[in-house]
Amino acid sequence: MLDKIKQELIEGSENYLILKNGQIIDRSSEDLTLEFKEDLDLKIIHQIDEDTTINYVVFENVNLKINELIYSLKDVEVTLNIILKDHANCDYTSLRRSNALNIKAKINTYLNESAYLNYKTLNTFESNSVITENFYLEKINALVDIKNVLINSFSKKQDFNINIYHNNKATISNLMNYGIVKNESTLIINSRGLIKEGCSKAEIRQKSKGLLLDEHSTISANPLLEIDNYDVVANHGASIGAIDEAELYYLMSRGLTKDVAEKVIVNGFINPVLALVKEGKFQEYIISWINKNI
Amino acid sequence: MRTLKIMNLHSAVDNKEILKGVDLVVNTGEMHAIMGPNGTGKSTLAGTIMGDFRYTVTEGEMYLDDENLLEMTVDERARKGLFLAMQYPTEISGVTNSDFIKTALQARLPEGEHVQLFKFIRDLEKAVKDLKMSPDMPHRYVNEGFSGGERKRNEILQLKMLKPSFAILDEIDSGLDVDALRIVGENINSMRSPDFGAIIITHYQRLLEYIDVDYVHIMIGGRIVYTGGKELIKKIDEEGYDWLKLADELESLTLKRRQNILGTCAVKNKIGA
Repeated sequence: MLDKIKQELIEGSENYLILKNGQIIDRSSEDLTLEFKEDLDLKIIHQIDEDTTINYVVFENVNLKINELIYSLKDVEVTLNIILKDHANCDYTSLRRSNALNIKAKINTYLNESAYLNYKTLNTFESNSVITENFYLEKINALVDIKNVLINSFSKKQDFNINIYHNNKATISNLMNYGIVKNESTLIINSRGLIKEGCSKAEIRQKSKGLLLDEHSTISANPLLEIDNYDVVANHGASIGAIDEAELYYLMSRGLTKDVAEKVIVNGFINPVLALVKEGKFQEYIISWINKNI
Repeated sequence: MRTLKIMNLHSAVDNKEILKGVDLVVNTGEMHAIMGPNGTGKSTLAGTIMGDFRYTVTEGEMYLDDENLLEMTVDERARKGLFLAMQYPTEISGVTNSDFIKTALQARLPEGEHVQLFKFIRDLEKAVKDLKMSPDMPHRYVNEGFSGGERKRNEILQLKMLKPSFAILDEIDSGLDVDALRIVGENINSMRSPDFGAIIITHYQRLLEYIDVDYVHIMIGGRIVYTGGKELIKKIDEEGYDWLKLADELESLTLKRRQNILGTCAVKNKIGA
C-alpha cells in the first residue's frame, strides 16, 4: 500500500520521507531526518499500525514546507509533536485518514520566539475519533494560523479539541474550522483559547463554520476563551447550517444537477484551505479523497 | 426556430397568488420587453419560468417547443436552453467564476465529452473584455464582494458564455451606472440572432435605448394587460402606467358586468349600482 501511495503522491525528484510507526523506511536522501536544520520543501507519508509518537523539530531561522499524509488502518493512538525554535517558519499541510474503528490523535505544537506556523489539516476519518490539537505559543511574537477541515460522513462520532495557549506577550493565533457532516454523523468541535496573565498584546481569533448535508447529522461548536489579561484582542464565532437553497437554485439555474451543485458548494466551502495547497499530485490526492468522502 | 409558450400561468408564493393568468409566446429571434409598476409579478414570472423553488404553479401551462417545462427541474430547464439573469445574483463562496462557468458548460455536454480548455479560456477572456470587466473577474469567487453593477455584468458574462436559446433578464439594469448600462445593453443587443430570444424585464426605458425590442408587454396585477411595439416605451416614460391601470379596472368591471349577464340571463344591475 505504501508503494502505491508513494506513486500517487511523490513526483519527480521531490524530497520525501516515508515512515512506518514513526520509523523512516524510505527517503529521497540519506541526510533527511525529522530534525530540520535547513530550508526544505518535502512530503512525508506516515503509515501508523501501532501506538506511535513522532517528533518534528524545526531549527532556528529555518523555512520548512511539509505536505503530509497520515493514515491508519488499525485502532491506534498517535502523538505528533512539532517544535519550532526561534524564528522558525513552517508551512504544514496534513491529510489525515483512517478506516479503523477508533482513532486517538494528539498533536502538540510548541512555538518559540517569532516562530510562525501555518497549520492546515484535512481530516477524513471513517472511524470514531478523538483528535486533540494543542498549540503552545511559548515565546514573544509567536504566530500560528490554523485551518482545519473536518469531514465526517461515515455515521461516526468525532471529537475535535483545539487548545491554544498564549503563554507570552504579542503572541497571535488565528483559528478557522470547517466542519462537514453527512450520513447521520456527529461532529463536536471544542475550541479553547487561553491568554495567560501578563501576556499583553496577545491576539486570539477563532471561528468555526459547519455545513450539514443531511437532516440527521449534527455539528456542535463550542468555543471557549479564557482571558487573564486586559490588553488583548479576543473574539470567536460559529455558524452552522444546511446548504443554502438560494445557492443551490442559482447553480442549478445554470444547468448543474443538484448533485453537482452540492459538490460545488461543498468544495467552495473548504476552498479557503484547498486554495492554499500547491497544485500538483498532493492537491489532486486531497481533492479526490475529499470527493470520495462527501 | 424555438418557441417558449406560456398559457394562463398562475403562480403563488406562500399560498398567495401573484401571477393570475399570464399568456406569452416568445420565439427565438425576438426580443420582448416586460414593463410594469412595482409588485405586479414581473420577477415572479421570471422565477416561475426558470423553476425557482419558492414559486408554486397553481394553474396553466408552459412549453419550450413541445416539451412541458412544468415537468422539468430547474437544471433541466437550463440545459434545455433557458437562462435567467437574476435581479439579486447569489454569492457562491470559494467557487471561482471561471470554474463555475466551465462546470456549467460541462453540464451541457454529452457524457464523455469535455470542455475544450483553450477555447474556453479564449471565449471567457473575450466576453470579459466585451463587458469591460476587470481581467481578474474569472478568478474571483462568484459574486462575492461584487458591487451591484459587477453582479449584473457577471450575469451577462454567464449569458454570453452559456449561449442559451432564451434569456430572461430580470431588472438587469438596476444598480448599473450610465456607462455600465450602455455596455450591458449593447452586449445583450449584440446577441440578437435567429437562435436567441429574450424577455427583458425592466422599469425604465433607458435600457431599451440600447436594446432593439420587437414587443413591449405591460404587466399589471399579475397579468399581461397590454402588448404593443416600441412606441409603448415612450408613452410609459411620459405618462406612466396610470392610463393602463384605469383601463385594467374598466376591463375588470366589464368582466363583472358580463358575468352578471351570463349568470342571470338578464341585466339586473348597472355598473356602480
